Amino acid sequence: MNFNSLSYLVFLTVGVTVCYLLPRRARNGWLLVASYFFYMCWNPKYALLMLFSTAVTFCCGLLTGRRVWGKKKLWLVVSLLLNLSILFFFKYFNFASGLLAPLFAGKAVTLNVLLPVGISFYIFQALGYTIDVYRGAAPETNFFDYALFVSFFPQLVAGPIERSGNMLKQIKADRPFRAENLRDGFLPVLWGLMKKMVIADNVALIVNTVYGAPREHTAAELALATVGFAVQIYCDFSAYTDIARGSAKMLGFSLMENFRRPYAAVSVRDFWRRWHISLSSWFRDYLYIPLGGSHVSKWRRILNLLIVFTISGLWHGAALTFVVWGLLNGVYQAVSLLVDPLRKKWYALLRLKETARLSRACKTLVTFLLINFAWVLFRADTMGDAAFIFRSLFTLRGLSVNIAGLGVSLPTLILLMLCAAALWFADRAIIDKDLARRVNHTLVPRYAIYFLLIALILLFGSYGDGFDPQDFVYFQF
Amino acid sequence: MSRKKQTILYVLIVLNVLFIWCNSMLPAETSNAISDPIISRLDRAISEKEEPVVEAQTKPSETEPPKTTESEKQETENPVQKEKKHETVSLFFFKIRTHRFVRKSAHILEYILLGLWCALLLLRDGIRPARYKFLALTGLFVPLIDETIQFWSGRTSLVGDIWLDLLSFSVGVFVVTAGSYLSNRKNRKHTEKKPGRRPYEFSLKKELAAGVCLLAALVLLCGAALPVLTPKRHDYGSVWGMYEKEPKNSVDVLVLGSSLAYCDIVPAVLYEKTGLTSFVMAGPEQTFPVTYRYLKQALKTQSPRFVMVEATGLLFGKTNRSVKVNLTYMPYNLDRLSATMTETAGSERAGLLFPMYAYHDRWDELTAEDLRKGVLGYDTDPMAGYTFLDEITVIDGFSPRDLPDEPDTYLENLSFVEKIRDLCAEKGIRLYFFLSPYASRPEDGDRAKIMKDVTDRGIMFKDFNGSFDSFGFDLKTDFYDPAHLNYRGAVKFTEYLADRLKANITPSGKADAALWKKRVSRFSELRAAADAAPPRYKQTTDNNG
Repeated sequence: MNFNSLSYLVFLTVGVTVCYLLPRRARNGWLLVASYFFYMCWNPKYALLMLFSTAVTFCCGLLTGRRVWGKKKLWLVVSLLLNLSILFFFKYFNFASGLLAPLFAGKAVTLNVLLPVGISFYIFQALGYTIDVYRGAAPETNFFDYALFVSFFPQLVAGPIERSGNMLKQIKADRPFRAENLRDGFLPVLWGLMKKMVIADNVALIVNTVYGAPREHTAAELALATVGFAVQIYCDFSAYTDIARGSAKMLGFSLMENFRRPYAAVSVRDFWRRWHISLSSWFRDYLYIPLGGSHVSKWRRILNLLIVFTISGLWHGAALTFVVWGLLNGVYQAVSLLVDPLRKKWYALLRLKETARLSRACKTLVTFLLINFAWVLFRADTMGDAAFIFRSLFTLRGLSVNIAGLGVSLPTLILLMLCAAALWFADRAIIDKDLARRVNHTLVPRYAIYFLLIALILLFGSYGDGFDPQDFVYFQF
Repeated sequence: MSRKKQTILYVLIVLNVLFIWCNSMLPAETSNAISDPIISRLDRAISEKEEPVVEAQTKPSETEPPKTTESEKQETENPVQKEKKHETVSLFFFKIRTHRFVRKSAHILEYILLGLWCALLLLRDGIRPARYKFLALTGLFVPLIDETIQFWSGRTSLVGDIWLDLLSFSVGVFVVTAGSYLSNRKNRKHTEKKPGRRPYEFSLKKELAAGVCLLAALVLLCGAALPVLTPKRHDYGSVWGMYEKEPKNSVDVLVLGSSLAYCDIVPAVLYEKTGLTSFVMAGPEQTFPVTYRYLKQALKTQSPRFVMVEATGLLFGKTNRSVKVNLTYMPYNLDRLSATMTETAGSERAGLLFPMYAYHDRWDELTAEDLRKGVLGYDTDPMAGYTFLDEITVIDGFSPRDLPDEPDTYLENLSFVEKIRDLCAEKGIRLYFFLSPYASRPEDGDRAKIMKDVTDRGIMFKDFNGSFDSFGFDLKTDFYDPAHLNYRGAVKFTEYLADRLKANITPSGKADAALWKKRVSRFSELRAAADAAPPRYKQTTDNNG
């Protein structure tokens, strides 16, 4: 059940309506049932896996909190081992087997298992809880509340990866029906649907066409597709988050922010503070800081960065391209750290202000280019394809663009460019000027925006005859 | 604004005006030489584009020959040699030649910039309404001089261009005005206290009212967009848009059925021979449940005295790929809805219930014709439902036609035959079922079964395959494919029918004589052109409904 399907809209409507019709005590139970139903729509069997992970982390949380057998660490390790084993088995076994194959006479043992949707998300959320308890947070004693925390359907399959402190508190709280919640949640849902169906899915046509056969395209087309992918993945993933946050808001929950105009970042480090914030902060809190964080020597810090970003790459997918993508992001930051004094001297020498508008614009542009460069690895099907694309881009292999070969028409391309430009300004208004809240406190402008968004979806959205709703890109992780 | 900035603006304005006027002074050849490199680059880029794939739904039958649009027909009929052929840039509904596109874009940009400079200068200390008259005068004066110079230098000078230039100039002025307004507002916000505008307080009543307005606006949007977005249909059946433009109650004979009806019966010939007005309201591979709904709908605007139904459809399967196209063009009513619910499923049904689902993605291929017909509607059908086919398949013998064996569907179809019979009886219409003459035909047993089942229900029936030799068909020239006649065969078959109809029915005299005269001459023109041209042989032979 995709967020951009009619069935989800029906599901959400029923889910919200029944939730508020039920007595308050029964609401969490209903949400738990709805969440498991939502997950089982993909593969009913894998709900058991989620239940297992939930049970393990719940029990380990209790045992850790109560220091059973006097050992906190033991239960943390048990929880980590069991959950990471599940993750390894379903997500990384084939990858590791392929890597290790040369050691075993080239024979790779592979498992024929489907990757459970959202496994990385809910396991990380559950592990975050276990670590929080290990660090002293009070363990959750109500299994059903905890199960809802792990499986809450709006953020179950692609985040945001919530913290137990934020979510469990809201689960326990009284959430009376407030029409304002419906209003506040509706706008993000529509906005997300527009970004997904109008921009992301249409840009995906270009990206899939070019990246599907990179050798048949010129450097200019590859560059266009790469920038297109940057737009696609942002619109796709942020759309999911918007719909998730909107859906949760309708049910009375506030989920954490996951994006803050990432392409306006002035450095790669800044980008990671704005992109997939819930995951970046997870890695920061549960991996980077325990490794020593920034309070260590420069070289150790660089090593920490490389470790964190390589693991972040691996989290995204079991393929070398993802690992190298993560590593590259780590390298960017390591290099930035190393050249930082030089850069400061350079600015002082030229009497430039780092905060000047032009300087910021240049930094944003350079950061955008670096991030795009890394996206090549993220999107390419194989390392060979990625290498070919890099070679093409650096040797400028062909500068012509054949629009017919991009998989979209010229008007669609123009529309997408206009949409991307409009999105830049809209995001600025939403993030920096709190536009959503201001719009929600009006009547006519709000309904005018509803109309505009629905009209855009109806006229330009990807749906209809022969259209298979595209999965959100981050579902695969 | 500092003096330095004002000076810069004065210089920019003078340079901009000089640039525009100097360009106009250039002779056409020199001007072409400047713009040609850009135009030819654009031409090359566009010519690399492949033709878009035609949507499958617009091809109701595999037997259809490639359609020719009106503009293409005009081009082939009246070939105009141009000095230099340029590609066209497609901008939504409009196709613009690249040379015009490049020149106009440059010109528009020049005037937008001029508007910007002038407005920046004149509105430097805020919006002053009195200064707009100067702006208006400049916006009119510069293009006027520009066109005058062009006129003197022997180039084409158009009044329309003055308006376009003025409009472009106004865009520049508007941008500065809007910017100035917003900046003033922002400054006011910082300096003044906000007047006490009450924030909106949530009210369920207001929300409901706004929700209803939103729904109404969306319905209006879909209602306006759908006629434009739906592919336009002029031939190959299902020509409802044109049928509804037929003068009310002017049709004497209504013909229903599959492609065997709209390919084989020529209303213009029937009129010429008998004075009877007829309309072929058929559809590709039309199934009987749809035929019944077609009849019901058709009788809402016409009161024919004779209804002819091509009966091969009795042997068609329950569903086929043409059900959608047959229903898409039907007016919205309960009959269409019931046929949609019973005859379609899945995405076809979704597309028929909510046509935006099926056609919204056509927005980037819309043509001026889509816009015109979408807004103004269809005109009357110049062929009255007939589809002109001129390609030839040489027939070297009769062959059995492969039709699905679905006894339950056949029985269901018979129930619709009864409904058609009852409807005609209720309206006092004479009903006549027939099987068209074809070379690829259902088994003798099946045809005999149809004859028996139809006549048993008290309906007149004729299998024209029994009198195949009476039509004088030339098997080398008269068939479009083994199942369908081309115009040569259709004329012979229609003339044969005309003789029989003349004996049974007299014209009601309600015909729009001018319209029918136009139809007769249109068909004669097409026929004469096809007769004069070398015979066109069809590459593949297949048979369909």
